[in-house]
Amino acid sequence: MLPLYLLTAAKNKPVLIELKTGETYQGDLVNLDPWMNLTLSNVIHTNTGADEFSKETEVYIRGMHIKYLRIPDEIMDYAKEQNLLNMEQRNKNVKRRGGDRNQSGGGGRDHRRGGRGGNRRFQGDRHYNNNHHYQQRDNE
Amino acid sequence: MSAQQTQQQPQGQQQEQKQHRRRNNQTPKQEGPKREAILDLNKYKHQEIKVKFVGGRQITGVLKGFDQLMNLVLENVKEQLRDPEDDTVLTKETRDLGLVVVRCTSLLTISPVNGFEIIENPFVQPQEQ
Amino acid sequence: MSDLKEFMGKKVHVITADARFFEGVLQGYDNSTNIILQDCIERILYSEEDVDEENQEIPLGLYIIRGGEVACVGEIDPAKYATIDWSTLKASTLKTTKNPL
Repeated sequence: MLPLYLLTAAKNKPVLIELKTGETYQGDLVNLDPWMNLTLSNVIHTNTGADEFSKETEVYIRGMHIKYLRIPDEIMDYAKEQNLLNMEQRNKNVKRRGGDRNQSGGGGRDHRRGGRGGNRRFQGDRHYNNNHHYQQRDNE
Repeated sequence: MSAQQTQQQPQGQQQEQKQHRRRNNQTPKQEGPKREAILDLNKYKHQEIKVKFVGGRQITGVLKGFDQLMNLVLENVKEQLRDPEDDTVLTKETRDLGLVVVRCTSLLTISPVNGFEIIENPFVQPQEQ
Repeated sequence: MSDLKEFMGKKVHVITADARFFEGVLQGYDNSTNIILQDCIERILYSEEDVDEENQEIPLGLYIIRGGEVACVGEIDPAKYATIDWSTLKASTLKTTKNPL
């Protein structure tokens, strides 16, 4: 299980974030991205010394400066369930795809290769996005 | 870049790609987080927001502009000054900075000023640490 | 990157960059060593000098620790673990590895 998957399963659930500075934010996880940047709603902020508290309606937090996250215990089971469901769904799709191919009449092999080509392009796309990532990283 | 690629692709691959897209649409939900902006800064445009920086500085200002990487342009910026003895403690003092460009790289958190309020300790027992 | 695969589903100790000491079941990790700890607890151990302090065990639940914070992950040997009396164990303070930012 990847941490980001687990975290995605915790959407709309209460979480606690501690930043590297020692501040904590507690609120409902609204959204996250692949860098673990987060948005929270209905947040209680605690400062480093744990002696000042404030309420905020919404906060955006940079993933890079998070120390740890605490999430509800039951999310683990929920995430595992989701994972299984997704796998099943994907298997179904693969089967259906196989069916399409046969109908179109071509030999399975050749079409498979075509499929990989499509994937390669997709990877190129991802690479592009990765550059974007590096850009952000480098700057930070 | 990706748009160009699409144009250059031979027909067969394009079809394959269409199929790919269709497949993706059929998949109900990906487990992992999506590559898209998670905060729509448009809703804060011309509103006052609070920005915290890596290193502990904090400013408030009116959001005038932003980009994909979350570089920000703020107007009427006030920095909340910190205690010179202990830079984790914010004082009541502020200084005016006027028009500011915030680099995305040093940005730590963004939150709207509207809706911020200082409260008493909401936890029965104080937080750990 | 060395492989945390062998620790998957096992109880591990984790020491973080801010000198904290965690214990939990490793349920996942990724390329940047972000790790998932299930049934996580934090242990606070005091040294010989802190006579009037008692060792603490703080239940924390499900935790994700950012890779950058992880200093060390070690598998727990259940046999050895059973012989440790955590309430009386004395330990000296770890230095932080932290770059104050």
